[in-house]
Amino acid sequence: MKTGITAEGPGLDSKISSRFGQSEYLLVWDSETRSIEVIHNKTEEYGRQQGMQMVILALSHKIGTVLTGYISPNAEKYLEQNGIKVVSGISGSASLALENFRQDEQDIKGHKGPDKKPEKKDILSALKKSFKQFSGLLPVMFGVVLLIGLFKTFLTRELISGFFTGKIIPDTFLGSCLGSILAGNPINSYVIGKELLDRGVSFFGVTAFMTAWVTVGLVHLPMEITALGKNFTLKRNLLAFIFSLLTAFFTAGTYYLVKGGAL
Amino acid sequence: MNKQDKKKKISGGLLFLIFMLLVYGIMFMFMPEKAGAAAAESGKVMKALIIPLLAVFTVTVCINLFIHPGKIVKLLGNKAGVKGTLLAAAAGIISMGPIYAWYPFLKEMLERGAGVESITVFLNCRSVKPVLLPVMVSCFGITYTILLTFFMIIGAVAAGRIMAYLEKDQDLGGC
Repeated sequence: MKTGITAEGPGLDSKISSRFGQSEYLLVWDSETRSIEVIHNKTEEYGRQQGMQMVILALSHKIGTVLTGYISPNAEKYLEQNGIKVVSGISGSASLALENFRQDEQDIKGHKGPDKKPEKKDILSALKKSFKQFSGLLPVMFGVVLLIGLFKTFLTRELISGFFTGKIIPDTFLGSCLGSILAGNPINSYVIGKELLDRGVSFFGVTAFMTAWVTVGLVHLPMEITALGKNFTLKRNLLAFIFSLLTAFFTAGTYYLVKGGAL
Repeated sequence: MNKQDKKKKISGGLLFLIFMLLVYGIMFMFMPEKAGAAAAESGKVMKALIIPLLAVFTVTVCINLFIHPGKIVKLLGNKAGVKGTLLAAAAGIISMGPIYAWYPFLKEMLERGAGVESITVFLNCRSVKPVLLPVMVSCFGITYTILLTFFMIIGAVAAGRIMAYLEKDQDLGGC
């Protein structure tokens, strides 16, 4: 059976292409001959038809399964209608994807049960991989810890309380902004939140502050970007900021409605 | 990620650390008391980070050892559906310790096939902490705690759906 892997380069050490249609290479692994065929997909020649060209390549090479990153519903439908199994959402190297796919296939066939005890070399390999993953992020983690120390020293509770005006909309926005800048154990946000409440700040501002404290991380941005990518990090934090405002309006609004208190 | 990109990212992290050390160095020269206080606060954060970091490292090793990426794709991938969202939400809620201890784990999960929706739901659901609920109740009362917890979970799931849509939308340029 043939397995097609969309890749950014011509070898199995290449990264899996994130988009099926725009993949520059299709690596075809033949499990019978145990050989690999490299097909160069001339993406620039096909413009908007790139995806369809990849479907045609997969069909013409009699591929049984396609391993890829993202694939559009249309392309997936065409492939599946022609009996080609699609495994999408895969990232990492083509070789790892192929190895894992073959492993999963073997598990399903029962050649190798899922209860198999790991061998010493597997444990060492897992330890080595995890250590590599952690050590790569340690410098930025130490940097973030130093930054948190600065914020904790300069942004005192008194200073934070002084920013609030007592008006709902500015306070809610301010709560989200301050919560986004500060970080630490959520318990600290409860304590500061209670203090703000006692000083006359409404539940709107306090809720926005506590929600943003945990979900938005301006101080963590360098680390989140290093770990999860700039695009994902910026979008997620922006969304979390917006949701901290929405959560504040819904929570405080419902609370005042239930309790019958003044806004 | 090619080798050059990887090198660039690692050196970026190192540059950030060097920059922070420089800031502290300058502060020690001009405002030694404040710099000392900030260093002490950083020390406390670092101390609190050790145990969660070890716990997250152990979880990452176990995932590397026992769970194939194919299973992660099925459980938390882009097509994991409601079960994937619930699993990510539950994992986010029960995860303990500072978020920066979890980034290496999340990076690993993303590389092994977890979807952006699951990662977003995990990160945003960390705002709900069952062990801290009694503290929240004592500060703000039971009604407020229930409402906030409910809306935070709804918000986390909605943010996850929007992230999945945004990422998908970006990918639709090709096929």
